[in-house]
Amino acid sequence: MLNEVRTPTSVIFLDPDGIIHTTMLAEVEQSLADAQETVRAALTIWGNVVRPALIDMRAMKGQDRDARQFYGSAEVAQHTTAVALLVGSRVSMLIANFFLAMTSPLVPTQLFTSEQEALAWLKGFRS
Amino acid sequence: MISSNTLPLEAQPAPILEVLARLGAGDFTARGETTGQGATDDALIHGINQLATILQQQQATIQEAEQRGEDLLKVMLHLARLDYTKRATVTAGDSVFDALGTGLNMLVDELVAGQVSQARLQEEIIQSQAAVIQELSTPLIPISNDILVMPLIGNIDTARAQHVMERVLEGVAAHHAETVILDITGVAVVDTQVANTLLRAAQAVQLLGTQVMVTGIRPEVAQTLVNLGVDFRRLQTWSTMQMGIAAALQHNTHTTRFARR
Repeated sequence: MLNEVRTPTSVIFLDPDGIIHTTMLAEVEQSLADAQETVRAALTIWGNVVRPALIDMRAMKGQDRDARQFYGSAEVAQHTTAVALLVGSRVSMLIANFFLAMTSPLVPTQLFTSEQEALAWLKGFRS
Repeated sequence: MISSNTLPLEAQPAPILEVLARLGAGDFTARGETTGQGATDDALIHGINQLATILQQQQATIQEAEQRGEDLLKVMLHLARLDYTKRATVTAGDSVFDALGTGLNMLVDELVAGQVSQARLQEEIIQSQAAVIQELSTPLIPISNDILVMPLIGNIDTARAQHVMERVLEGVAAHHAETVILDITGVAVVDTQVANTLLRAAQAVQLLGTQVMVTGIRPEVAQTLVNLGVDFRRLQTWSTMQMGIAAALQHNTHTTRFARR
């Protein structure tokens, strides 16, 4: 089974701990179509289980409202046990906080600036 | 830092003073030229030029910040006027202005979405209220087994006229009514449109074998109808609803007796 897939706006891989890593590519401003493509691609390596997910938004430049709502929807949440949002830049910090405030995530979701801390937290949500 | 202790003013050549004067006046493009006549003078000119370059860069940074601040302010001013068409400029960088611009644009998107959903909700409420009002505006009251009364109140426009026609026809069919009384006591203005509505409704109802009465024709309305040339001769008309109901009851009793014989 493949453990890495790519879309024009993201790279997704499944690590040995069963955590899905999604890295938003640099300078990306995701639309709804981009978000849907990312999730569709991720599901090809997801397997038939719910998993914790690490979303690396550090290089991200923007995300439109429809994309944000899609990521926060039940359709996406049904596949995840928890989501760690990895932020770094001011812009990514803002996008992530906006996501948390505006979508009221359906699974435990937390912001991190350290990848190690994010992964440690996610390991507690492996099914 | 240039100190008068290390370099007396009177010892400085005129070109250096001129450059310093321009820098002091805010012209950070000013530069001195090395002469090669003295290491101290050339080092001084070199230092002044470096300082001018730094000041020029700082000035450019401040101007850019002011420009971007103005840009954000413009978006906010548009928002203050509830105009959501303007978006902040966001560059590829990660400055405070980029973050502010990103946040502002996201807020605008949320406001637009909120406005759209609110407009949709209002539209739904208006439609629902219109349906209720329409239903209430054309009440069809059965006052006996075979007599229906529809008191009309207020103005009658094209849409309401059509609804009157539909309600009367539905009511006649549902109640097997023998008589329908259209009471226009409460109709503010009886014009050609209202008159035509009544006539068309009457014609349609008569095709179902039901007679139509129009009641509540006030003297001024009668005068208007005559002036408009509306022909109500094929309809039974009465000045009050009570008279219409009495006539209908009498007619129906007579018809029933006749049918029993």
